[in-house]
Amino acid sequence: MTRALGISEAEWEALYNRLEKPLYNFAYRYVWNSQEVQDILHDAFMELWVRRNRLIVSTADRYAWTTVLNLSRKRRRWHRTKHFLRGDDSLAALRATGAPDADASRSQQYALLHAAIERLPETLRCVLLLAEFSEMSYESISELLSIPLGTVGSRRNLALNQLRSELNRRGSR
Amino acid sequence: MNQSDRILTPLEPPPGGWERLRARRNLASRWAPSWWALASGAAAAMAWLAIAPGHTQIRMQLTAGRLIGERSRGGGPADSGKRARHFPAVCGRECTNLRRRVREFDAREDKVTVGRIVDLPDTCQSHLTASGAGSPCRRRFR
Repeated sequence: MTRALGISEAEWEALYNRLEKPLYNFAYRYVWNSQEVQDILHDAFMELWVRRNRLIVSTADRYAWTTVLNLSRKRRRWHRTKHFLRGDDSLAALRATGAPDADASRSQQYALLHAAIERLPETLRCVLLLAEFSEMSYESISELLSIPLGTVGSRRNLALNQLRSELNRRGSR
Repeated sequence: MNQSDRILTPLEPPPGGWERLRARRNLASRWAPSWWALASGAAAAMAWLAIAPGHTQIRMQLTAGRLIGERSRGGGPADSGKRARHFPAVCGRECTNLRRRVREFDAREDKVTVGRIVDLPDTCQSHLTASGAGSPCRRRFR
């Protein structure tokens, strides 16, 4: 079976409108900066636009997710290197900037969540955020990350348990 | 309801994302290099290479004094009062000139010559860049 190559401008726009929120939420928990997340999203969609003639509409979602995931990891590594060179302990010590709903009453809760997510290992964090925000099935996530199907569920549960215990531990202090 | 819904609440992305992305796309496509500009640039580069001046340039990674076998510290044979270096007769004049020029260069550049370009006469350059075999100067300069 052959699939049509190429993405039109309308399809590109529809893809952006559909994926903007889930991608934003996913990437925000990686870099914790609203402006940088927007840059990452735009970089990913610009790449999609440049390669639009070689992409298939049905796989464009996956391409966008993979690109955003890689760009987020890259940006995160860059941040870690920068903070390491400055002598900071970890990214968790920093405040999340540009949080759209960071009003005063939720800032404490937000800081706790930020620190708890930062303490998750990369493998667990990635699966958890994808499962929470991507609206993808476990099968799609396992294909995206190249891990077995059962591993997706187990990592997600493990991540949730660690997140909860971390939040309880920090909240009870 | 999902167990984790209470922990990870979805955020709303800032408004105007699509407009900014479209503006960026339009800007990028407006400034895309055209094939004829690339072709004319390549042709101009080829033409420049064809009519380039005849003198040879050597890009040096160390101080220029290394070229004539100077030591890292202190002066060369003339400065330290040791026996003067003898150059083979086959290229003695050129190499003497070379040594003088290199010293002048080092003095002018205060020994900071990393990545600098030194213009040398073709005769001296041929001695320095020879593969080693058959070049008496090359052996002496090391």
